[in-house]
Amino acid sequence: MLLSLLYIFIFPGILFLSVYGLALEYLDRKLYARFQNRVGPPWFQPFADFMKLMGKEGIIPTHADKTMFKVLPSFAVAAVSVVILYLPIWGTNSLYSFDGDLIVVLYLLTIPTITFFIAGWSSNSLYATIGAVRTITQLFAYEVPLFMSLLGPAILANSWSVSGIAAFYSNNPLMALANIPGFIVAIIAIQGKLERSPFDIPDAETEIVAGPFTEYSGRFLAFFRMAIDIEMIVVASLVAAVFLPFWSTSIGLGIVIYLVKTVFIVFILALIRALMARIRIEQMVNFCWKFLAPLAILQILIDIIIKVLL
Amino acid sequence: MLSLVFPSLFKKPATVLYPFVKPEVVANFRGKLKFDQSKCIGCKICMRDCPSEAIEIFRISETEKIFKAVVRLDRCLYCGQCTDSCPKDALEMTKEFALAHFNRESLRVDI
Repeated sequence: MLLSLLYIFIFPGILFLSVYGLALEYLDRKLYARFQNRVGPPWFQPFADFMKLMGKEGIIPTHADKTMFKVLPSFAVAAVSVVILYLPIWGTNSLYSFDGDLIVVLYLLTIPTITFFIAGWSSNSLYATIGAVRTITQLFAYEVPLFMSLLGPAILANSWSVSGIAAFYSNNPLMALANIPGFIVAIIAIQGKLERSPFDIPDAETEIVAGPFTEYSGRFLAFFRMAIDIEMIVVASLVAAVFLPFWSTSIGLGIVIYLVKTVFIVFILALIRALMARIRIEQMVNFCWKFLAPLAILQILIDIIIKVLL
Repeated sequence: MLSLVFPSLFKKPATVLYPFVKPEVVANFRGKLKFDQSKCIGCKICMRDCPSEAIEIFRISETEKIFKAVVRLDRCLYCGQCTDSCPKDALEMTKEFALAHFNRESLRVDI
């Protein structure tokens, strides 16, 4: 009982997620700045931003839905925080795994995007409505390629739980080479899920102020930003668990390997963010459905063929 | 573009960490004005040509032609027109640019 509380609150629970989320946000912003020949923020900047937002007044617009306004940031943080219970961190075991938890993880990861949509919609403001509609359109674009790209490795590994997939690929590392197209699709799709360049259409600052979060300020905005940071850890851990097959028997080395894997994925995401400009929403939907989805289907075919051959 | 972006990670950033590091300014930088009292003849061409009426010339001696210049740093555009117009080269622009003050009255300085 006490151990469960320790897991939920300290590691890998809320404290670990908050601290590591802020650390990854710092890493992402520092890398993004260095790629552009700038200096970048100091290491405590994301924490300072969070404390500043918590200290500011949270203004709720007159015509907005008060209950939804206050409750939605907590929904977003709660949904992404629960996902970490099913992802392997110190090896190939996660805290509570069961067969089929890949589906649960993907379902829980859809919830934050829907909260962003409802947040923008219930704000009853013009810019927020446009941002909310764009968030949902973008969800429609990247969700199917992301699901299909995670489906391929699951078929080859003969398991529907993330820890099972991680264990299979750790035992047969060469099989992970067959998943390279899926890895590419997954990296591009999670760039869309995290709403970063080139897919930051919902948060297009020069066009629609702040998208769905236009009317949010103070502690509500602080928790939405914290939800986005934790989402970054969680999707990076998911992609690392499914596609990158390194592991270790000892807990300490396992945690170090996990940190290296997630930092590597955040490095790739920051590189993509620095290289690309923002694309339009219809270009994004076209790209995801005409290029990413067929590539993910190809990945599934490759995995089925390899499974039948072996 | 990857060949431009990725090596930037290993180079020194282009940012000058002002105010810890003072930046270098170019040779003919237009900063705060400097007045040479010995050269001024009191023609007040600088006052007429100034687009924002920032410089004022006062005679400080009844008997001799000695003048003083007072410039309002908040009005001055640092365009250099007075320096170009002065027939005796009594005005010169220095490289000083850190001229911010807390109240407007202290920006009216003798030069």
